[in-house]
Amino acid sequence: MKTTESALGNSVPRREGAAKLRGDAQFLDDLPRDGAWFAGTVRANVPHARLLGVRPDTRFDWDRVVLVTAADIPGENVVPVVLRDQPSLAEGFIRYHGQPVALVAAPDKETLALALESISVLTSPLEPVFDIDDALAAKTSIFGEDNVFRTVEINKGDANAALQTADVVIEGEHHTGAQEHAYLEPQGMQAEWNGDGITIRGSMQCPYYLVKAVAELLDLPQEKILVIPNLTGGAFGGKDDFPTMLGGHAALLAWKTRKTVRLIYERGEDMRFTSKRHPARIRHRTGFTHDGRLVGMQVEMVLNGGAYGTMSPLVISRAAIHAAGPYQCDNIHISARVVATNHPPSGAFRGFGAPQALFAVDAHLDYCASKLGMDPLELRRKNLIRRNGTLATGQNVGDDASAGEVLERALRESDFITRREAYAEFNREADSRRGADRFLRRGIGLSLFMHGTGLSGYEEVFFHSGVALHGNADGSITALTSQVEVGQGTRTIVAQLAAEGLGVPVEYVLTEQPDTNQHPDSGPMASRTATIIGGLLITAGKRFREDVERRQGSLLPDPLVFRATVAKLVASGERLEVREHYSPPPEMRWDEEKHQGDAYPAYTWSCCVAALEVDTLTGEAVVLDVTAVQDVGKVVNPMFAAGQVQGGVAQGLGWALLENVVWKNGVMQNANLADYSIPTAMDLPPIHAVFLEHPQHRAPHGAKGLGELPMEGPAPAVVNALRSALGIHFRRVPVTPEIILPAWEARNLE
Amino acid sequence: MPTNISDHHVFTPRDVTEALQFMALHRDEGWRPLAGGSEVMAQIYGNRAAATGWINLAQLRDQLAGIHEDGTHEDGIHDDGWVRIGALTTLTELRRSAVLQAICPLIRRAAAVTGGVQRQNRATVGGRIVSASPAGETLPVWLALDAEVELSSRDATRCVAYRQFLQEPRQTAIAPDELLTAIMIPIRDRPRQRLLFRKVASRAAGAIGKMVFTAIAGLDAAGHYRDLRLAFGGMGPRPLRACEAEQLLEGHAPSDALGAQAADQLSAELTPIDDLRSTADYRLRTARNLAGAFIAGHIGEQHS
Repeated sequence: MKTTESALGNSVPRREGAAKLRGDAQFLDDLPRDGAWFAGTVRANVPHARLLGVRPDTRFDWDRVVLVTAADIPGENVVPVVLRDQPSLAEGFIRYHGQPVALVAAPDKETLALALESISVLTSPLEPVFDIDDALAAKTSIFGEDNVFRTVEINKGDANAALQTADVVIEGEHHTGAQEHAYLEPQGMQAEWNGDGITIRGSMQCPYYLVKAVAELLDLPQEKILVIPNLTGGAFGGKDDFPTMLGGHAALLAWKTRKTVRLIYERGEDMRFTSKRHPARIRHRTGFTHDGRLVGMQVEMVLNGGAYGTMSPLVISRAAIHAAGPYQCDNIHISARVVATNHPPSGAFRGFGAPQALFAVDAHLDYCASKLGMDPLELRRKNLIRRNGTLATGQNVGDDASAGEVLERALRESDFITRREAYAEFNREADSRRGADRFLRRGIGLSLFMHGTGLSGYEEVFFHSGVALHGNADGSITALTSQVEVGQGTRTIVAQLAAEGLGVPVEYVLTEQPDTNQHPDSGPMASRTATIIGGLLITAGKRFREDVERRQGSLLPDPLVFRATVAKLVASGERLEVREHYSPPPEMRWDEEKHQGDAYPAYTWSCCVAALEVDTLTGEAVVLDVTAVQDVGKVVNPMFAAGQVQGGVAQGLGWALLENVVWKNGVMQNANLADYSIPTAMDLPPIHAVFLEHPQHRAPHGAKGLGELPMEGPAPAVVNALRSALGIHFRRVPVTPEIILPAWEARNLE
Repeated sequence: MPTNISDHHVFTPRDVTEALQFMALHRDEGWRPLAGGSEVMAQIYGNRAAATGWINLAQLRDQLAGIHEDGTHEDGIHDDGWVRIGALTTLTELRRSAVLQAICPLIRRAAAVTGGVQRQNRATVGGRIVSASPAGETLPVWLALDAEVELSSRDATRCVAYRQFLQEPRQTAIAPDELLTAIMIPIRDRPRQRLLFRKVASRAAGAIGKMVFTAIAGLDAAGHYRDLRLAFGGMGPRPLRACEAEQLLEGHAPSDALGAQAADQLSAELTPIDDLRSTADYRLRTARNLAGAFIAGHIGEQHS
């Protein structure tokens, strides 16, 4: 008899990998068209205005196409995300340039193009605001009375009093820019009228959002809406809330045409008019004792939410919870606001508010070290959260406290101390060198950070994720979740996790692309697949095995025998199905109002080291290598985990150094992938990923979240490395050569 | 809404003669040559391509691709001392040419940082010259080398100095019935030289440059600059030579003071702008710094 080796910890190949490699994978635009109509969007061409109406040109024969405006919407004209402030199609007001005003479907592309050119949007302009301060001054009204979508305050101890008595108080203001998701596959949805309901296929993360949204929009019962996520070419959060709007648009057109309608954005349209990462301004006032112990932290953070609320109320929560970083301080005040401006709505993006907060706190900490005359490593060692330490929310981390360990490990893995000294020597001797080297400066820096696993606070409770396993006639077991394969490897990981619980080889577990008829709602978002969903799958797998063994009346350790038994039971008409739903660990406490308590069941701790070289003739910074150490609890699939770190570091380096959204009057000017530069393979340094596996006790397999974390380290590490190379503290990402070069030249004039 | 080449008229001549016949017959009808497509396909996709149709040069490679060391002008004005680079030679072929590497390594460096590898496999020398992008990587090198372009029509062939060929931004001296058939590089007796090519861009590949600087400095026996050429891309409405700076520095020995003088002269001579990719301020700082460091003698490679 053979038993099954654990399915966890193996680099099981990606289930849809071969099809993707061969080019056989079918993304939305690859599906047979079968007469589906082409669709396009009529957009506002001003950032802020009263909407007076649309005027179709009477020279065009409008019987050739179908036009939908807000007046056609049978249900409620809303994109239901959090605040319900966003209309599906503009009505009354235009809040951003490019806001959808009407939709057109046509039998062919040429007719569609002609129709879109034959319609004008009539507006009466209002004063726009793009800047955080102008929005806060309520120079023009976009949302409510004060243009604030949500304010989150976190208090621990008495920060004010602590800063008054601190030996040293250091202030700093940091800024982060917008970032484009740049998923490989642009946004796209297809909707089909099937007689009395709608079937939607498309590129998305969260099919259940769409069921609710489309039901409301069309005033149909939810069971009339079937959503089938197609194989999705990348997401990064950009396919989280935005498809709720786009799927609604496709559904409206299908409903009115009684046909199948396909609405796919072209790259430039996608970059100009879909969501971006929230730009942020973050101010710190930080109090220390003379010897560098943190005694008080005040953080005032404002995120630019753009024209509508989308995910902003949740983003600001995660931003606030992470604003003090992985540091122990007894007196903290965090004030975080997300404001409305006339930019396109900001939305979910890998990290979800935490990257902005973590950049500011860790760049500021290096700055503080220089003001205190301390080594930034010593300052971190002195203040990082240790066992039973408490976060800003008061959460006691218990044993889940690897900040110190990831720091020390990263120092060793990157040879930090030796290289820092060697680079300092290299820089001191620069002027005495001949040749191009005399203009080079080298530096090494690091960031220390953590990312809360899963959704914040009570969101996970409301979400009530579910999974199901059912037995098939051939003895295989199908795992049902709504974890959509968006490139992260989720189909494979779901099978591994279910197999682990079932105690069977991973090949016995079937995973399908979900649909909302058969698959329970489970996400995916927020770095949850391997941990929260994984925990449910393992528990469900164990229960499934117990159920089979109970019916059989014996233990079935041999996987072949287990499989045969499942087949036999199913053949005899028995229904083998186990469902499992998430309920938070009973000891977890959370006060949403005060943002106090156990914000997340666990934290992934990480240290990121970046070494770089700056050409002081041009201000260009070339990253030499990155070392990322993280305690993920348990690595489910080493190949995928390393891939997440490498991809996340690449995305983080892009945000840190390259990715500069050029805005003009609320419109992205460089909306193409030549002028908006994400890193290519030639820009990326060697990325060394190291995993620690200290299991968290709130998941049966100990795994913590990984998907978002790796993009959070590079920006503060890069800014700290620049400080080490040039002796200049930069307060903004992306920190482009246009910022670095004048700063270097000004410093040399002093 | 994006369009595709299949939505356009395309004529595919079998040889140069047929292509030139067609161009003569349809001289003013708005047909444009299509070579590797690295510029044109992007224009077509973005609906920015103003053309009646495209003259697809794919079958002319036998005649118009290749690098010939003993190349002579078709009009026979020059009979030796030139390298002839056929207009349909790809940038990858430029990169790999031992002949060009021996004559001037700058050509290879410029080709190697144009777009990405895929684009280098398609993009042609002639296509880059005719599209005349202000930031085109190879163009300042042709300027620095005093290259000439060969223009053919059904009835005549003429050679034009590349410096004269470049006119308004993205405009050249080519006539509607003319096809650019080759670029000619003069081979001269060279003393000791110091060379530099730098493209400053947002990333290592697949980006349009913020600025391009290339320099060829001859040095006489006394170590003084002779026949100094300083060429820039992205520093004005078209690729340009900094002629006044060249004259000012000619005959002087490299030094930090001379580098500073060069930088100041360039501030007066160059007129960069703010655009999506960078700022006038940054472009001028980099031009000053790179040219200053080159003139001072700190950067650049020896070539002889």
